[in-house]
Amino acid sequence: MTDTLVDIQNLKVYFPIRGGLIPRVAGYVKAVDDVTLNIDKGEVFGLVGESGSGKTTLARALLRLVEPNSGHILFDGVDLLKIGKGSLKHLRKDMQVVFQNPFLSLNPRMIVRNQIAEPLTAHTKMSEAEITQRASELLKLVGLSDEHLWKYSIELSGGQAQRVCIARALALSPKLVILDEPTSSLDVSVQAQILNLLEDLQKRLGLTYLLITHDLGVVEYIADRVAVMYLGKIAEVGTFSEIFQDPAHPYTEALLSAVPKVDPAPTDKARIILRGNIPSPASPPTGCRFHTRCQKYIGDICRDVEPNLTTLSATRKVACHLYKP
Amino acid sequence: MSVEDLVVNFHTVDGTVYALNGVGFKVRKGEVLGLVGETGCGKTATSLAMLRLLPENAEVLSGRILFEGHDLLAERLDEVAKIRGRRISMIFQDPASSLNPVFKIGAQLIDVLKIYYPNDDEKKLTKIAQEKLAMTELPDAESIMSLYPHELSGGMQQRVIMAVALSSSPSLVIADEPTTALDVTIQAQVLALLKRLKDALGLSVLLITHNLGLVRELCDRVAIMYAGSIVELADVQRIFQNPQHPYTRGLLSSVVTGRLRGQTLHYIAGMVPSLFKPPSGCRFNPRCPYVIPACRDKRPELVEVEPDHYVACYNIPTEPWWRT
Repeated sequence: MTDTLVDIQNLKVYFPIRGGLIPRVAGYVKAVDDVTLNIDKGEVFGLVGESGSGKTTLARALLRLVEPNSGHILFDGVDLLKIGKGSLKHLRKDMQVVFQNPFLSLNPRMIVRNQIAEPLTAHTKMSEAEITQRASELLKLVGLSDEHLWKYSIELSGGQAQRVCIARALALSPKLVILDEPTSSLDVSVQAQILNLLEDLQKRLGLTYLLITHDLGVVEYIADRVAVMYLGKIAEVGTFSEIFQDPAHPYTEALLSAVPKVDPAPTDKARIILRGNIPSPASPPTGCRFHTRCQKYIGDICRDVEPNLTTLSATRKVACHLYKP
Repeated sequence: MSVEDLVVNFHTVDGTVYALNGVGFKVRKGEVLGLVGETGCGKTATSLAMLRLLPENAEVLSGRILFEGHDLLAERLDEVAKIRGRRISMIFQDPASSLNPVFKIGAQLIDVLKIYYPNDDEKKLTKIAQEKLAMTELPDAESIMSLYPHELSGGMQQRVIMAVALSSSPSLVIADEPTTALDVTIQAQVLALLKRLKDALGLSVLLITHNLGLVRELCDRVAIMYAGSIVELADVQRIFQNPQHPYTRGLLSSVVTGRLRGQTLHYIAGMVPSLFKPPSGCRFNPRCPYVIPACRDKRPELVEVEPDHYVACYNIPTEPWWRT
């Protein structure tokens, strides 16, 4: 039995919509609506979905950057939603984030050494000399050298800047690293370098990644397990091979089919093109949230009854009426 | 449309950027030509030059841009203005920033149509606008006319942009990353539509993108750009199955897909050169594993290595290529 690092149970994050002359709550955007999933120690967990599916909100809730409305988040056995600010600060050491655009995550007025030093000064009692030493080690770990310590971020290329962000995220040896679109703003050949680095670090340091991306190629390359989100709900969760070779949920199938492929397999089926737009999460469709666009709509049950996650195998669950429990 | 030996420099406070270094290609009638390359390789500068839209600090040192019997670089600007928007249209990446947020869709469309149909009254123009919107398969064109851009989704906005771009019945459309800002399921819809419209109207399309998957799906031929020059030009099948230029090979090998799981990903060593001080000769030479002395002396020209397959390289790798 593998150890669970993050255990999310029935998590709900609703954002109130205020409107009118006298502001009052007119409704809710159900960004994350009753999500249950777990991330095991040492695995790469991929979270995919289109814009507005709630994947970033889920990660922010995990870091408690947004306050969930209900549910539980157990991080290494501790319920994050029940602890106070002081202990939260301690726990945050163990979870770090790397964002999409490295130039927005780095301070243009600070040299690289001081950016990497920030988490160290906040959480440890290291001396200045020790910090420089540690920053130098971290840069080496991500494939940069000491000369980069004294540079400003504008002097770095996109790939180098992202390496600095990764070094900073690893400064406190976190248990969980959240990667939010880590390669999306980079050019193809740089993407490959960063992915090589991330995979190498994960293996060497035994890191756990939560990888949030819309790039399915990246997910298929690196993720061990994958969850597909649609409008705040988990549509399907399974191992990478289950999801990519035999998608169960019609949305997963359409999503995989929609990606233009560089090397199409001879077996590639005709492309599924979904109708219509992604509905607004402020007023999601009734029943199954995907029913308005679903290519496998089977009748009133899809429109009226919300499907629960059904277990298909030990590792796979899907929320669709096509599958009977 | 034919672009010949285009050389463009930008003068900036930090010095001169040698942006385009002899770009040449033809867009054939009815085809989709992909212009592919990484950030800063000159894709967008090329397209702006084609429309005479380069900023004031740009200097065109040489080149000809021939379109329907005109050299767009030599014509007077008011002559170019008659072609731009009418015979050649553009679709940009972010549909939201191409639309004016304070006017309704209908008003913006009619504004454009007034130029092309000067003799028609408002009523007639409204009708034409609705037809154009319907052509892009927007449901209920009538009600969309009375909406503001922010009331539409990204995919719908891009359809409106396409309606505007096609309203003058152009023969060439330059599409600069037309689906990059859209979600994949919406991207698939817009791409399918673009294909259908192209076939129905007999358009030529210059598709500028860095997405190689998109190129493979949509394009007939591809031009690969690196640091201001075209390094390889061929039809899609040849580029993807038998790439010749070391850069093209490197680029294709770096694309991440699930098939490569467990393997270390290939990448091109080194970095894209600064165009303030580009390398002499072939600009790819500092990163090229096949470099020979000649590469540093003189820029290689595009040479036809097999029918309709052009490569700019002095030392084309002899070993066969396959995607590992």
